[in-house]
Amino acid sequence: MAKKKIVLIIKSNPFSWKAFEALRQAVGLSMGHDLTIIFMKEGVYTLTDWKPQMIGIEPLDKSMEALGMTEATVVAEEEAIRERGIKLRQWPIEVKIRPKEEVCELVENAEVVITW
Amino acid sequence: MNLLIVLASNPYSHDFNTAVKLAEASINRNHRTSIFFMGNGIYSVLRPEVKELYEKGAKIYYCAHNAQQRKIKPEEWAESSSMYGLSKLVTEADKVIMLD
Repeated sequence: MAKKKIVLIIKSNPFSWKAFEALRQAVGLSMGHDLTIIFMKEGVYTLTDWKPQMIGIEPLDKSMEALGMTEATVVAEEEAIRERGIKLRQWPIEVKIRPKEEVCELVENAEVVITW
Repeated sequence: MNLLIVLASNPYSHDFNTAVKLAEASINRNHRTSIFFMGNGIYSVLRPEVKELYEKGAKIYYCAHNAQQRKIKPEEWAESSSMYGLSKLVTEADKVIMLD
């Protein structure tokens, strides 16, 4: 299977089924492609220490753990984190905090861009 | 061209109408057109517009896990798939459009 450079952007807040589905999709895509997941805007809340179970959503740990076993890269936009004054929790995969310019470059170089 | 549309929105959303019209235009221009339904997009597989697209030549796929979660059993003409199946469809596609 020819690998493609895929960027999966999570920009909406995680407080619905979408964040979980986005990460489940990411795990599937990471198996066959060169995947970068970018958390930006409200999406950065996904990376904080919140409790999905309290609103009936399965924890995201399993998906993040699975991503840790692939070559996927996880990036969070620095400005989005600073603007919201939030602190990211520890995840089973390294979360690289990058400025907006670098995020734009990642998106520009991608062959496929998927947004949530 | 090989176009893949990934739809995660429910059937009463503007995204659903966008996907249907986009797929129709693509088929009318003789492009290979596939639609992958996931998340709440599963409910869209039950819509008559999607069956019409299939009859016009679109390939219809859905995430079996999401369908089971929602206790939805799509008809035979829709192909059961998975996130890994989506990964393969992305490989074959020239253009991928995600509507969430």
